[in-house]
Amino acid sequence: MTEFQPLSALMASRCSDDLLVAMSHGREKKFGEFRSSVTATIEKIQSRKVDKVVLATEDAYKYCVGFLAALHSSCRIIVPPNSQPGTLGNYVSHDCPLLSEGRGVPEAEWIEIGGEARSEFEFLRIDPARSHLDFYTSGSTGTPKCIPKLLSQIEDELTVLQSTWGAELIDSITLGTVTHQHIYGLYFKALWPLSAGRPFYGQTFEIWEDMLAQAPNRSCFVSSPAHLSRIPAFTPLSEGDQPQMILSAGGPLSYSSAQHAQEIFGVLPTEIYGSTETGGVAHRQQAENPTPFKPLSGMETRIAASGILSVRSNYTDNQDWAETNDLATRFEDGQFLLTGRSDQFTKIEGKRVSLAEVEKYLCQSELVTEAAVILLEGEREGLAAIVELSNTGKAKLTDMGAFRLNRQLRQFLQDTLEPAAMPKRWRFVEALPTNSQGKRMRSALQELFK
Amino acid sequence: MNDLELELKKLVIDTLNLEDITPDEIDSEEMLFVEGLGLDSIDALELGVEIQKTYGIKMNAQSDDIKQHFASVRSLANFISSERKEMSA
Repeated sequence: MTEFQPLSALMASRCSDDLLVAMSHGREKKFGEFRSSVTATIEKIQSRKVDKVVLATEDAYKYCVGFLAALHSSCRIIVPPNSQPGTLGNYVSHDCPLLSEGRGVPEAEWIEIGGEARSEFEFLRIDPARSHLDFYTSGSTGTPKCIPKLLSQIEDELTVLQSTWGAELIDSITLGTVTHQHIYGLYFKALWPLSAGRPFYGQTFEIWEDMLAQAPNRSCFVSSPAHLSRIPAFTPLSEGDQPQMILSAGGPLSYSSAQHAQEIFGVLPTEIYGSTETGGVAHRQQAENPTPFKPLSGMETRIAASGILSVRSNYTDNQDWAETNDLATRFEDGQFLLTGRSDQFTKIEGKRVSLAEVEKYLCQSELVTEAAVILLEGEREGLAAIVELSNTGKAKLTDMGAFRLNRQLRQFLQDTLEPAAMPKRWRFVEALPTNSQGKRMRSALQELFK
Repeated sequence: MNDLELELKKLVIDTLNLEDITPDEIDSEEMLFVEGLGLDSIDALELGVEIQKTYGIKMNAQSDDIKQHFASVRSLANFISSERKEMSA
């Protein structure tokens, strides 16, 4: 066990070379190797003379190496909305290269993380109030929205997490089913463990069985409703194998999923409510139905006349009131229950999805002339696409049939969209239904899937 | 095509609510994920839950072969048959 270190002070600290930082690709990564990889990466960044980089990796350990190397090189870090190759292409350039393990961008626009350091680097404490990150997330117009953050905001939030749960997690190892390319996974699966001297697994576990096979006796699962609502019929874990803590964020976890997770794993998931803009806001464990969210320490809450929840802490944007996208009922003690979404964003499997953005990408296919994307109402949440085909598209439809054609369009979308943002159900129509003013008729679009 | 493979094709279509496709349009050898049927990781979780429910098979958490078992309908059918043999043995 080691002391909690702010990220800005971590590299300059006297951390032992033998401290286990992470498990990455089946190998133990200790602090000595970590320091040397950060140094090697700094050398590469500095030789390029750039002041910003796009950071995207498969492995969370590599991400941490790139993260600290960029900040120690006074580079601004750009965090793209996802790491699909087509998305990266929109952010990467000669002046803003991709910092990664190795991915399909031109050599001149790429810096590989890690390698052998040529010399010693004298690490000084970074100024967290002058270290910048730009997080991109789905925007309502179909163009991703930039949310700037300072390292000091990240540190302030990690300090709150540590004071809330640090003691429970002593000597545990963190494993996650969520990606570190989103803020929740980044903080909970990588940066917080790194700061707290708790080892973490670099890989993202897509399958429960894989994760349980690796999980040691004391572990912390960083997961989401997507996985926690789909736990296979495991035999409940015996007491010695149960994790210390299960975290969930991204969207509401149903009461029944929370209870089921407790039956199998022996602990009730701790849900985190928050967003890229606000950071972590509140938490709850659903012992009863309903259980309100309790604000994290230092987080103020209020409800506007519109019913929308606003929050403020030392790490919300500009340390000022930030409006969330949620409607809520607030109790006198500051706790609250979420009652619905207030905007046209859609949340699918915990991922924020902009319908306009999916439509825009779909229309970029040569097979498509017009497209509408809707959220299906009913028990199975998911997107549906209604598409007007081009002549090429129509020929393909005749040739391969509707199923294979929609698979081909999904393949096309995969370049820029994550799986959750891809339409599951498809209709190919002669013309999108519109009303007399030329507006698309949402009800008629829904009707196509009844 | 053997009965189990046909049954699994139906199970894939029903569980995932796939439209515009019938069991005989799925090739037993074709990839279920990414290419071929183009299923994603959420589909994989749902399929896993359903297969364990339907066939009462407990996936061995220590096994690294799960991704291979889920590669195609044929590999799934082989996996399920061998597990069944073990259970009745």
